[in-house]
Amino acid sequence: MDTLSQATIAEFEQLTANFCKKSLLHYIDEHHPDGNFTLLPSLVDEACAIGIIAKANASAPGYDYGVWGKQTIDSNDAIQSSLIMLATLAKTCASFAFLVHIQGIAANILIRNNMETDYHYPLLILYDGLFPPYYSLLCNPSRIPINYTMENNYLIHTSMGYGYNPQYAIVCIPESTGWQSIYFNNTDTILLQTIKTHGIRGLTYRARFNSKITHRMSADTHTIEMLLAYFWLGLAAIATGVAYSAYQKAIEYTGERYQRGGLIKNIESVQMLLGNAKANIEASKRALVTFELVDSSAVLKHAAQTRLTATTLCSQAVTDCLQVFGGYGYMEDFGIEKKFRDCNTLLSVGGSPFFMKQYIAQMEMEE
Amino acid sequence: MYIDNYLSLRYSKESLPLLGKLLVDGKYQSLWDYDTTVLPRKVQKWRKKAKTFSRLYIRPLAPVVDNNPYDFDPQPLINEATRWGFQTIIMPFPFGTAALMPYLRSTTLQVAVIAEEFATECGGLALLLLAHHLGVAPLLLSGHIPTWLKFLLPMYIKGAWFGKPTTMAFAITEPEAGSDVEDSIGAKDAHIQVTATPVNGGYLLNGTKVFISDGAIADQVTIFAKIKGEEVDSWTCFLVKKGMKGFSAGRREKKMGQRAADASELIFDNVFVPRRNIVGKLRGGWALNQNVLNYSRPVVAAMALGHARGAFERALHFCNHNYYMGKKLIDYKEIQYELADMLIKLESVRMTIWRSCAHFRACQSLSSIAKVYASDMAVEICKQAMAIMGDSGIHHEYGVEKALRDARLTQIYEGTNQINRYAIIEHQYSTDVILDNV
Repeated sequence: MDTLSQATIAEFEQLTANFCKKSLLHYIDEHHPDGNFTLLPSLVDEACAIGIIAKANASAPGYDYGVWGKQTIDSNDAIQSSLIMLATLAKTCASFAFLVHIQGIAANILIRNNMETDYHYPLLILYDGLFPPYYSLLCNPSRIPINYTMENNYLIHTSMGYGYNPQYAIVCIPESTGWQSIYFNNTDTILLQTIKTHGIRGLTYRARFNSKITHRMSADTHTIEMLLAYFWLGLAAIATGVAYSAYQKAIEYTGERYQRGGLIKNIESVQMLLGNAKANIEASKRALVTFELVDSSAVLKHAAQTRLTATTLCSQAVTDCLQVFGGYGYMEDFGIEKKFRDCNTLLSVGGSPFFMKQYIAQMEMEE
Repeated sequence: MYIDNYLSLRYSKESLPLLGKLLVDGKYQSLWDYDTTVLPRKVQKWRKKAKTFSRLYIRPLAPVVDNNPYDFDPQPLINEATRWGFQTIIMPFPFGTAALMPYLRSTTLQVAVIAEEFATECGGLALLLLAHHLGVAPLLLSGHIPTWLKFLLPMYIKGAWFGKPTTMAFAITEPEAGSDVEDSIGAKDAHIQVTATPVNGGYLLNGTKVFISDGAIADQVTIFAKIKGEEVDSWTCFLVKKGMKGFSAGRREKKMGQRAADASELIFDNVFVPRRNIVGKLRGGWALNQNVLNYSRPVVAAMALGHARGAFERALHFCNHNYYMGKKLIDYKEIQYELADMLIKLESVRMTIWRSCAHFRACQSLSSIAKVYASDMAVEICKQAMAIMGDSGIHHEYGVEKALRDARLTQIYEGTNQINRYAIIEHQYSTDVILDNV
């Protein structure tokens, strides 16, 4: 069911771009290369108010068309709109885009289960361990070794999760009967420890649960596949936005920096770096825009391919852009090193290229 | 899965007749050990010593200093490295601690070997210790025995006998002249701003150098300046000492990686340098600079190799101790495939570096080939290491993401890899193998 015209998608993109220009731009400065976290609550409030962030509340502006809002459940156009919004946010700050992405997926889980919450900040745990489960296990959760205890409506578990100062938590866990999404309406009993990461800093936690479950939601395999597909597509979109902004910065820099008696934009090796970066970014964009909702296993495979292609190409593009800056690119002042770290984090998190290749091959074999 | 039955490597040796046994190798031994055996005996000793030193002194500091580089006092580590003989390894006795016979076969191999070991544990601390050699290199390459006696000998005696190190730094990069001063084609148009004005008894230095490794902590700096009113062909190397009037360290850069070593701005405001502090010949700076880079590039390559090896070793350890879906990571064939791929790259990089160090004199194209290949492979290996560790690969606590941040700098300093490619062709431009006589 297609619900959005291209003009409406462009309006969402413009809305996000305006938000970036007016508010998000101040989130990163020379003293806070990874973002000024004190500004985050007001930015999140603003993004919620204008409908960029999806919230599991029917009266919230982003309920339908925020990033991973209700309409993305069955609309290609809404998915495209979410991807475009994420990419636009990532042009200014990948960490904020990642937070919006996580909030969207958590809201999407609640919306699918007709649940509502007023909270902004989730802790999202989509899978346990180093990688998502292989495809055969995703379809047969009873075969997945269990690392948790669930008794008397309590969950005892340790895992890695994403979010920022979480107010509620959602954990997807395998059971003998199928997948479950476990909802905790507060995080008071969850021991949270921030983990320092390569990029997208401040949004990764080690969470120790010894907590009373608020609600259990059964999730069929299709739902889990869709959530994983959203997760991967979002990472691809963020990586594309990061790479695009790195490219723009590199282009600007080549018009300002003199070496060899002229502007560096005239140096052949710089042109080769930029040409390679541009080709990679365009290929990544195309991989994203060709994504379509089809039947469930194909969606996941398509999302995996898109994510593998986009994050790999964008990581290369950002490294090429950083090289254009020479020594300056390695320093925090120009912001390009953050883009390098962010893009490599997006490459590894939620299934690294090595894992994605295996995953795609396994899905091919299943077919 | 480890096999120890009749199909195993060990058994395949044991079941051979005596003479056959002598011809095959059935040991399960690390490649580090195998590689060490191909080195000259005294270099083997340095390699083992550097590994021990790195584990004892660099490993515990690495994560702490990466998090808080500005609170770190490097002097105790430098003192210890001097006591072990690493800070004077660029020359043999009586100017340094390098072993003489291997040195006569290769001037850079011993430094390259210790660089790999240091960088395996921490890129920043390795740079902190090794940037000193870069500062010393112009003194060495000046080829001027009185200079050696005046500067290198006291440095060796103070360090090796009295345990008081002299730290040096090498200053060529300027705000408007980065890659230009590392490439002979770019240099003719380089916008060099640090100048030396002749005055009675010496020169007055003015201008600013940037990104100088160890710049803020160095006791002495070899700095390059053009003579006022002239061009790059007047570039001259001067030895500037800490405390000279008008010489100061400015801003310390905030770097993505190799954070333990400072990259500082050096400010020269009418610094008087006596004529005796000219290193090499007046107007001989470019020749010194180019040859210093040819000497240092294999060492940078070895540092890149170290970063990659560190990433590999940590990933291997991680795979041996972590499980995915109830099975050890190392027992997945696809993980083994990736680990093997990383080892192939590590070995080929090491052989390229050691090959580039196989001559008494540094060879421009081989040095640049080693630097470009090692740094590109290092970044790839670090990314592979992160990938096989899954979501943990990006965590600071495992040290692999740090190795990637550290390795990325090796593609930039000592001439970007693009500049190094020009250097390779510059050296090979006039060769025409097809016309060679047979």
